[in-house]
Amino acid sequence: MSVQVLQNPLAQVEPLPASRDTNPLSVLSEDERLHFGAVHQVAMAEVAPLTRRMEEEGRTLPSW
Amino acid sequence: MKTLSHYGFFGVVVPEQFGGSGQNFFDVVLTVEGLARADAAVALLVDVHNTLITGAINRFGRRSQRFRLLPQLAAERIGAFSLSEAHAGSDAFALRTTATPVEGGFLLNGSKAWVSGGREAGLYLLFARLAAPEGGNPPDGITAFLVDRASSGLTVGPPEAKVGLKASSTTPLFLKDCFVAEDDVLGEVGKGRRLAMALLNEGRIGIAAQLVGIGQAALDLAVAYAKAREAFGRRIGKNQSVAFALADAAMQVETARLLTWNAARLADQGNETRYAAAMAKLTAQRMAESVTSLGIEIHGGAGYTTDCLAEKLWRDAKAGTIYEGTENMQLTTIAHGLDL
Repeated sequence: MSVQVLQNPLAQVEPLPASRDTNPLSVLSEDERLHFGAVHQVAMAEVAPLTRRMEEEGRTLPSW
Repeated sequence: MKTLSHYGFFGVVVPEQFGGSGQNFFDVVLTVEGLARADAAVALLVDVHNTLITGAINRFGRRSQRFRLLPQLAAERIGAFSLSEAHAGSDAFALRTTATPVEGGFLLNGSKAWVSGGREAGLYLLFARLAAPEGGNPPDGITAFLVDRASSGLTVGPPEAKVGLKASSTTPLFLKDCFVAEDDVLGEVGKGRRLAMALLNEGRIGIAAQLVGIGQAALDLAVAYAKAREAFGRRIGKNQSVAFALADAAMQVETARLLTWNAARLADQGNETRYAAAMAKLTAQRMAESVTSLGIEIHGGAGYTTDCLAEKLWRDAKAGTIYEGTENMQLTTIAHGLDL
C-alpha cells in the first residue's frame, strides 16, 4: 500500500510580485505610521492655530 | 514657513545628501493628508512644493540643477508651479507665454495665472512656448523653465481674493523680457509638454490626498458634534438619519483614501498612474464637496456661520473641484483608458 503525500497547494503558487507582497492597502508600515503620526501632531499643534489666525485676518482684508 | 521648514516638510522627497529626508511619494501623500486635516492651504503649498517642484527637479533636473537648487528647496525656499494662463486652464497647452531664444538663454514674455503660493515662492517652474521664428509657424516647443523670483522682468501680481484656501496666496505672474539662462531649462528644450503631463499625474494624487484630509477633518468635526449636541432628549448621533449620513460619509472618505494611497504606491513602483490618479482625484473631489457640505448640515445653523470650522472646510474643498483638473477633465482621462 502506498501512501499518497498530499502537497500543500500553496507551495505551488508562485511568489507574489513585490507590488502585491504587502499588507492590505489600508495598513501602513511602521515607518509610514510614525511619519503620519508626527505630521498629524505638528499639523494640529502648530499649523492649525497659525492658519486659523491667518484665515480670520483674511476675512478682514480686501484680498487674501 | 519656519515651522514647516523646521519639521522638514519642504524636503520630503529631497535626497538626504541635499538636506532632505529622502522619502518617497507615498510619504508626501501622507504628509499632505495630515496637514490638510489642520489646514488645506498649507497642505496645498507643501504638496505643490514636493510633488511639482522638488520632485520634478529630482527626476528631470540636471546634476548641476539638483546640486544648486535642492538644498535651498529642502530648507526655506518655496517652489511654485506655473502652467495655467487666463485663457488656458483646462486647455493648459494653449498657453501663449513665449520664450525667445537669445544668446545664453531665453527672453520670456506673457502672463501666467492661478499660481498657487505665487507670493510665497522663491522659485517658479514655469512653462512657455518657443517663439515663432521670423516668418515661420510657431513650433509646439513648450519648454519648462526654472525662474528665480528675483529675475529682472518678472512681476508677481496681487493675490486673488479667493473663497477659501486663504492661508496661501494665488497670484498671476507677469513677464516682460524676463531673461532665463539656458542652465535653467528643466528637461529638454521643446519637451515641456511631456514633462508637465508626467508631473500632473502625481499632482492629481497629491491634491486627492489634500481632499482626503479635508474630508476627514469635516467628518471628525461632524462626529464630535453629533456626540455632543442633544435634541429631542438625546444626542443627535443616536438618530438613525444622522448616524447613517455619517456612516456614508465615513465610507466616502475611506474610498477616496484607498484610491489615493493605491495611486501613490503605484507611482512609487514606477507604474503608469494616469488613470489611477484621475480616479483618485475625481473620487476625492466629489467626496470632499459632499462630506464638508454634510458637515455644515450636521451643525445646523451654527454650521452656516463663519465661526464654525465646518464652513471653512467647505470653502477649502470647493477648490478641489477646479484645480488639478475639473470633473470633466478627469472623466475625459478615465474614458480614454476605456478605449471606446
